[in-house]
Amino acid sequence: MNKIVAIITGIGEFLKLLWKTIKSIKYFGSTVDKFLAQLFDMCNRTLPVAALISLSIGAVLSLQTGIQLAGYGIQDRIGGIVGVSLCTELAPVMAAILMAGRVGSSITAEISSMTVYEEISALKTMNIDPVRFLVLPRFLACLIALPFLVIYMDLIGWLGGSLVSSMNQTISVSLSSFYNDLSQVVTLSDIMSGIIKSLFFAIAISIISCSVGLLAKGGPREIGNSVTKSVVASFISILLLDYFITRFLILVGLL
Amino acid sequence: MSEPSIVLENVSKSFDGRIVIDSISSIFTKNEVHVILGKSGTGKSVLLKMLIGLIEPDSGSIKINGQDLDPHKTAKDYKMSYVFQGGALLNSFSVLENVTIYLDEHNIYDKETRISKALKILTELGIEEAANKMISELSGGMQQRVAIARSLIVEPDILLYDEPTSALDPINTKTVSQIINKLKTQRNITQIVVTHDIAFSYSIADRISILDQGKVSITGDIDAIKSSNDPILVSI
Repeated sequence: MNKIVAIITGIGEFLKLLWKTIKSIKYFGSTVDKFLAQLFDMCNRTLPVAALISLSIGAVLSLQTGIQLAGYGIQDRIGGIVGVSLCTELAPVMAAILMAGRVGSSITAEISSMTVYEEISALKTMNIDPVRFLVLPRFLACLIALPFLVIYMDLIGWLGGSLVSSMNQTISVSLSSFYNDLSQVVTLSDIMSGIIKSLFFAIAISIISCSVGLLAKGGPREIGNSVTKSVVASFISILLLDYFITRFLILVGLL
Repeated sequence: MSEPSIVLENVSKSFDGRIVIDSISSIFTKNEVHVILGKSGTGKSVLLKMLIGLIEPDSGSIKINGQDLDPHKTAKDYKMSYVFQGGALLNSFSVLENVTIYLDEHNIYDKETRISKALKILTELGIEEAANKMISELSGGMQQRVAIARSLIVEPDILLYDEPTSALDPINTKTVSQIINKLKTQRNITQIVVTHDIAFSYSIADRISILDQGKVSITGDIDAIKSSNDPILVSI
């Protein structure tokens, strides 16, 4: 029963913070420097790992699927399969999980530490709104960074897939054949669907990370607990949102 | 009699059914240093946070300069400032950025004026050489002085200190008491200091209130407190 109450309270706090953040967008002008610093930090934290993950996913996807297709003699269709799988599902979900793990956890650690050590209270006594000062730059930076991360992972994943397809003896699909099939199968709406998903994931990750941080109570031990709570809540939200957004995109004909 | 700065009437606060502040009525006079002395867990910090509006009382009234404390107004409206226990400084900012943050975020003055005002206060507190250092590079005593500098940039009429010497050695404690005494003589500020350190409170106080179990047991000047045989004072 307590857990259900905690979940409902958590959702309420999430929506409240989201609304406050949206209302504070009009003050974006005064937080541009903080936004750029956050954007730089997010890219710095995620791009190298994102390259490694997407290269690996593209390569493995190509290897497993390509060998199966080769059994039916239709391995030349590998480009389209890898292309669509990456841009509609794997890149947005993996980018979001990476963002929640690398960036969301650090946001929660930073903000919960500020809450525990009364820095947030200090801001309030100076009439500095923590939402405008801390949440808004992180929210907007995440909203910009995550879709770009998805496109970046799409491209590197395709590269990984194409390299394995051309180098593997069983699959043996040339780079030009791979990209030719990919360009015929992958449509703009496939790419857009991944970007649309990433926008919702970005909202969930940034607001959950900040909300959990701002609600931290107690001593330094709470910082670690908050980070765990934030990462778990972000992962669950990503998976749930992924299902419902996919259903919605199918319904509106984007997928 | 001097003019009252803050007046509390039957102020109470409970957390999860536990009474922390129990119907306190008290007057803090303008330009005095009023020390609230008590053991840990007696509600001193809660009382101070109610004065600055971080915690709302369950009942009773708080008047600041004759006006009821309005939860929709901020400390800035009442020209109040707060020095937190441990400083509560932003670790990712430099000393100068911490001190100018209020002016920066509210876009008060141009950048040069903000910096010169901050440097003037840092010089007044003897830490101007630390202006460009990061907070993590400073000792506890210096951090506390930066926290006081950050509060003074607001140009407050009322300055509240929450255990300003709890983490300090005797030398730094003496420095903080010198700063409070200097502010008393050089600026017209009402200073309310929460502490559990009797020697420190005797070195700064015009008046002392002893807080125990959420109630004020005695209020008076240093002589009155020293001559009191109150068992709570003896236990502190």
